[in-house]
Amino acid sequence: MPKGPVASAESEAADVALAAAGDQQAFERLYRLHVARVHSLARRMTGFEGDPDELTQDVFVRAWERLGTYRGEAAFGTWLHRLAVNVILNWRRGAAAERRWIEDGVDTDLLVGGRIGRAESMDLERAMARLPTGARQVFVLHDVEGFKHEEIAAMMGVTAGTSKAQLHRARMLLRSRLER
Amino acid sequence: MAEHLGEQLSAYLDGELGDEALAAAGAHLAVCPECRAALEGLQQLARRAEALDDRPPERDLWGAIASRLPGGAAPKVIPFRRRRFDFSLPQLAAAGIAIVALSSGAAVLLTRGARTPSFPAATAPGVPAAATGLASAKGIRSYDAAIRDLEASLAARRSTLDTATIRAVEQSLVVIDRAIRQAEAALAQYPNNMYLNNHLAHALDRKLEVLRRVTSMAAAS
Repeated sequence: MPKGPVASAESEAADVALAAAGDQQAFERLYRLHVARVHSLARRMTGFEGDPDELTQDVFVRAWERLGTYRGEAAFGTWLHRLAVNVILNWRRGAAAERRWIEDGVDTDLLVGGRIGRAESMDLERAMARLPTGARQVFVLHDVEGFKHEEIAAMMGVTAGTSKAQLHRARMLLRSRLER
Repeated sequence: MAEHLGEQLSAYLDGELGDEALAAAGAHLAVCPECRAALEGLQQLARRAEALDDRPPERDLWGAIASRLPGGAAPKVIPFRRRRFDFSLPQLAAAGIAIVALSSGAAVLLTRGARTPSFPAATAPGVPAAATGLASAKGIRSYDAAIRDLEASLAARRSTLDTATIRAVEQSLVVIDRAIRQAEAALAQYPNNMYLNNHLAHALDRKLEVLRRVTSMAAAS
């Protein structure tokens, strides 16, 4: 499921090893290769609640710090992507404590003042941004990123059944909004 | 008619229903236009979600990221060719000492261990041909010999470099030596990676180029 620019496996592995040894220029090449995917993930996962630029920075700084733990068992992009999901979900857990007024389960159309009129069709990205947090995150992880419910459940600290229920809820809300 | 499928629609779409549930869902869909329409809508949605393109951020975030990494942004090698060099006697001794010390460190690196990368021919002008290929331990020793020759030549004329030259050479060699160390560390992990071998060869070439040029300048003064 990799998207975006593609480097040869050899050059990417070399840049990972160089970056792990402290070569920032190699790490910058990795950044350029993967930033679109990480930023898109951050933007979709956070909707209106977070700053995807800041989260993207956090992801790459964390990746730099943890490069020494990368063992090459999966593609670097896969490792980075999972790390990005964890960073974003952890941010969300922290942010939730400060933003209790946004309850999971609230249709965020209400929170943005109903700016989307019924006659106005929304594109999928905008519709996703307006989903309730939990439903949005599960939808992005499952339908956009291709994770399985068991993986999503482990990452989000919920049951697989909850993940399935959130996914169906997200899909039905999106279908309804996109067909207006 | 039985109740609508509800969450089972998603499970049906994702192929997660067991045989019995799958058969029951199929039977319901055959007679329920509402569920069929919902399923079709979900199928279209799934196709759209899969087709979403990733977009980079509107502004480049690398500068902000680099500033948060230990040591800040990576230093750049000073473009040696652009510098103007004036030679004076008092500046020479320091230059010679600094260069010899730094390049001796490189010689240690070059002769360390049993690394046998398969480099393409290096391109440092003025370097003995045997020194530009590192396909074997013999090649590494030749490289080392070329560096020693340059050091000796430079030491003999070390009283001709100014402070600015010394600083430029020191900065360049520090960065190059760091790149060499990083490449060596990376090669320890992926010893057969051609990209890394070329990277190390390039760093070594740059080091020889710096040494060769500063030695030439000292000789011409």
